Amino acid sequence: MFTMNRLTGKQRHPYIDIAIARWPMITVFIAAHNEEKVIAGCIEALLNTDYPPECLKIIPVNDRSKDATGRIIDSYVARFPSRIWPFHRVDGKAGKSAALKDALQFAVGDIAIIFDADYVPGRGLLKQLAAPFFDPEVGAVMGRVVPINSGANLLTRLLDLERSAGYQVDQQARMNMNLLPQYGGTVGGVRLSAVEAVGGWDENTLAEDTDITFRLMFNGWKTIYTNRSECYEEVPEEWNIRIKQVTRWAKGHNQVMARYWWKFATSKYLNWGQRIDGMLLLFVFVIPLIMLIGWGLALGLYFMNAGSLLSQLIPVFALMVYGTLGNFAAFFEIVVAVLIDGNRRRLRLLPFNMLGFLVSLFAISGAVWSLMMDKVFKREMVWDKTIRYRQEQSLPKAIK
Amino acid sequence: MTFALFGLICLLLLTLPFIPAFREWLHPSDVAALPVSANYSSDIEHFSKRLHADANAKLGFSPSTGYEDFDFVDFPISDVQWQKSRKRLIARQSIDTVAPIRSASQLYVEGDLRTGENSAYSSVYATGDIDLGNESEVHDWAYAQGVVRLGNNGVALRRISAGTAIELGKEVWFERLQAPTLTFGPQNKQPKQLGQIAQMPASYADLPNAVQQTPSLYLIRGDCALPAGKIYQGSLVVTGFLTVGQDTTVIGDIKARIGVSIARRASIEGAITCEMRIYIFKDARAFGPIVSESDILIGARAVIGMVDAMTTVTAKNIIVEEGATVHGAVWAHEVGMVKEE
Repeated sequence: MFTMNRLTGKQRHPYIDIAIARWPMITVFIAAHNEEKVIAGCIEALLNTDYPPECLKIIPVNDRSKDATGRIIDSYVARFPSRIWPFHRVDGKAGKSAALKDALQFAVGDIAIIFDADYVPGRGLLKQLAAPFFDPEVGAVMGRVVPINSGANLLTRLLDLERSAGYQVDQQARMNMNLLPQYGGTVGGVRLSAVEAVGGWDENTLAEDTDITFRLMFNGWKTIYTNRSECYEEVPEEWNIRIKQVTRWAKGHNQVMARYWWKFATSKYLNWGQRIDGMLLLFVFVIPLIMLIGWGLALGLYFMNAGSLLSQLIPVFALMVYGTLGNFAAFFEIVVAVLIDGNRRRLRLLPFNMLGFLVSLFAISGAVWSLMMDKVFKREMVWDKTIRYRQEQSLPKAIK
Repeated sequence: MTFALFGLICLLLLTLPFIPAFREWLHPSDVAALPVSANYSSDIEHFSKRLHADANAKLGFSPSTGYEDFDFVDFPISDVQWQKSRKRLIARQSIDTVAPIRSASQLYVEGDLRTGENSAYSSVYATGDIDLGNESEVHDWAYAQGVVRLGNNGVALRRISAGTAIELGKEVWFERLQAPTLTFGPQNKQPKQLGQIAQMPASYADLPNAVQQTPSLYLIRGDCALPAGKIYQGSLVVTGFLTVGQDTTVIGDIKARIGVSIARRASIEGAITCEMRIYIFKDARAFGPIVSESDILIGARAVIGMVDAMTTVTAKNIIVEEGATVHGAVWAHEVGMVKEE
């Protein structure tokens, strides 16, 4: 349905045309934990944006870094004392969510835009992200994330395909259909008064972005996705890092699901389409475990009571299952997204996405199991930082 | 044997898609990151700035851009074959004629450009003013460092921008306009005198079904009518249709999903957002951006934005009555039109 909407539906970009306005005061937070390789690029890019400097406060959040991140930030503060206000965090709870919670108290204005330190925002990006906040109903805004290291290896190329589908089709279709686009925690922003109104920033979650998205939604706020507000990010280049990332997302997402599914299901602010979309979204990281259990049960039943005719037809069933796999909504989304982006040949890698699918299946199932064990044994969840791969001067020409 | 053959065919079909996949993996042919331009912006003057840079380079005023292939316009201009020119044109002095000029090439004018009825340009830049007679057309873009004037029944497709002002005549069709001051139709009509209602402070909290979302934002589910002659402080979201009464002032942003109607002499000192139609009636004022996903009607003598605080009006269709003024940008994605009062 989402893919067909992107192909044939009305495309909504209602705020992208706001080019001139009395721009609101915004605070840009750069989440940084041991980011010496990338922090300078992000700060430079933000200093270069076309957002009025008098309405822009930049707060690099140096979260207990042990490398040169703090020194790099301070060198910029010395050069631009009126524009950059550093927040050096030396203790407190680990994790981006906790660091941002501490830093948010220094925000000026009602809008906080958040970037991870490896992001390099373009000149017009801040205006594009701030524009939707002229709509008083908007609680959060999300831009599009584009992998910068897509060509590094097979994994990054597969993640590039996945990201395309997720943003170019999923998020934009949700925007078009007035459903529930998600705030992703970076290349986006939140209205601070809205966050306060729905209970404030929660540091006790691994997925603060999903947490805030859902709380805003079932309290009557809208999240806006702006597909043309693109920004580069790094994707994992190693499978173990990717598995850790997916595990963290799955745990955080399921935490949110467990906390809020009932409040979401009974919210008076949502229409039926939004309610169904949100519930499907909330439960998405439970499905792999259910699927694995289903596979196990099916296999067990088969070996316990297999008819001879059935066993003869195994290749036929295998072929049917394989054919169905090609028609998975996710695969269809990838194809259409990549074609909309103007790339064709990278689609040849599509069959390998089954590999990514299987890895995610087991990683997410493991995460669900681990989350349940965390609950049982009252273990505290650990936040893992994603590794950076970029060398200092390896930005693509487009962003130099 | 048959079973083995069938199995083999199945295996072949299963592995077939992996052949191009392996080839692409081992010999990558499409690995570049999706291009994201660091300098991307929807700057209305993007093309005019480029022509200005190229023309200045040609004239020796600035460094080479590498794109300086121009012809010069010969004066007097009566013999110029405008339609036959294959290169971009530079006029080194003002052009002032009552005859029409129809140029298919980009035209750069050092000075003013004044041409008669039925003129047509693909794109034109003037360091002074641009003054086009009635029923003239601009097909791509026009920019004047001074004022752009487009006569009655003109058509301004795509982008028109100016350093000082844009003045559109009666029944002009437009798409995207931007200048410190945009005027639509004749501006000399005096407002009909109506009894002014004294304004009294009021609160959204007193309205039916009002829910306070934040200290400065209220939400009303269903339709809402703000009574005449009140002053409201803070922002308001309405899930139905919002009517702002005559002589009422809202100091904040407003949003309604079904429609917004701003009555005469009402004033919105923030943004107006609506998923459907917005009506801004005569003599009303709005200071912030006005965004509709459908249509906007701006009534006669309404004023949007301020010279020192310009703003944006954007919708699929925008109809502006004669006498209205906008400071900033107007972007009609499908149809923009100046309508008689």
